[in-house]
Amino acid sequence: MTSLLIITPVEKLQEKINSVVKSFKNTYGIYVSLNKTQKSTESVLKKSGINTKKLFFIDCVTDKNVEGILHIPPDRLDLLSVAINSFIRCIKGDKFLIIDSLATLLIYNSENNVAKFAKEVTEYAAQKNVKVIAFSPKTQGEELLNKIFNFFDKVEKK
Amino acid sequence: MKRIVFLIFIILLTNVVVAQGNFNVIVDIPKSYSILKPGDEIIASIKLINLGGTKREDVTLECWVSEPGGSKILKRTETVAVETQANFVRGFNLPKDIEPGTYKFSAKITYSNGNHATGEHSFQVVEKKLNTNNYYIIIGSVILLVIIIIVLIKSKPIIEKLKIRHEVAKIVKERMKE
Repeated sequence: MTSLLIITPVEKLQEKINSVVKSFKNTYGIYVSLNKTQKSTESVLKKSGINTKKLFFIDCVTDKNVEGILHIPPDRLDLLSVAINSFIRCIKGDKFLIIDSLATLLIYNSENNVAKFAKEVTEYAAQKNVKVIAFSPKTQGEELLNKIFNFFDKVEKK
Repeated sequence: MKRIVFLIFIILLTNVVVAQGNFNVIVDIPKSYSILKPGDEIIASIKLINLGGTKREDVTLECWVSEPGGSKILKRTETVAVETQANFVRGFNLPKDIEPGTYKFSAKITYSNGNHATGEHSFQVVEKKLNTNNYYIIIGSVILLVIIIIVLIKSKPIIEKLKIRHEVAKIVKERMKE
C-alpha cells in the first residue's frame, strides 16, 4: 500500500497528522501544507516532539520567501505536482508525502483538476515507492472528494 | 509689281517690330520627373527666348504648379535677367497629401512693358505604393513579433517548472549537507 486518504473530523486532524508523521521515524518526508503556514505547521509538529529536520515543506498558504521553503500558490496544481515530483526525485532513500489537506485544493481548483492532480501524484509516488498520506477534514467538502477516492489505495474514514 | 514689293516690305517691318521684345517660354519636364509620387520633387527646365532682343532685360518669371481643376497649388515669382535667351531649372516639392492626377507646371514671363508669355508642361502624380521590400520586411517583422510573443507565453509555464525543479534541488542539497 503506497497511498492512503484519511478523512477525519477537523478537531482530530492535527493529532492524526502528528501520529502519522511520528510513525515515519528517521525517514525523509515532503509536507504539503495547504491549511497552515509552514511556520505554524512546523511549530505544531515540534510541540508534539517530531524532528522536523527531515521534513521538506511546501507552503501553499504564504508567498513569503523563506530560505529552504518552497512556496507554491494553491491554484497552481501544475507547479505543485512538479515540486512534489522533484522532491521525490531529489531525496534519496525512503520517503513519504503528506498532503494537509487535500480538500483545501477544491477551494481553489475544480474537482476534475484536483482529481487529475491526485492521480498524477499517487501514480508517480507508486512508481517511486513513496508512501502518500493525504488528509482531509470530514466536514470540508467531503462529498467533493468522491472523484478522488479511486486514486488512493486505501481510504480511511475516522 | 511695285505694290507687291511695298506689301512685302510692310509685312517684314511688322514682324521685326513684333519680334523685338517678344518672349517665348518653353517649359520642359525631364522624362524621369514626368511621373511622380506625393512628396516627390518636380523639376522643370524653363527656356526663355527673347525674340529679336539684343539688350539685357529684367523680366518677372512666375512658376507654378496647377492641379487638374486649374487652381495653383504651388507658386514662386522672381526677377531674372534675359538677353537673347536664358535657361533656368526650377522645382517644387509636391505636397505629401497631393491627390493623384494630371498636373501642370507653368511658367509665365512678364516684361517691363507688360507683355507676357506663358509655357506649360504636364506631369502625372500617381498613388504612392509601398515598396515591396519594405512590405515584406514589415510583414516579416510582425510575424516574427507574433512568434516571439507566442513562444514567450508558451514557455512561461516551462520556465516556472524549471525554476521549481532548480529550487527543490537546491533545498534538498542544502538540507542533506546539514
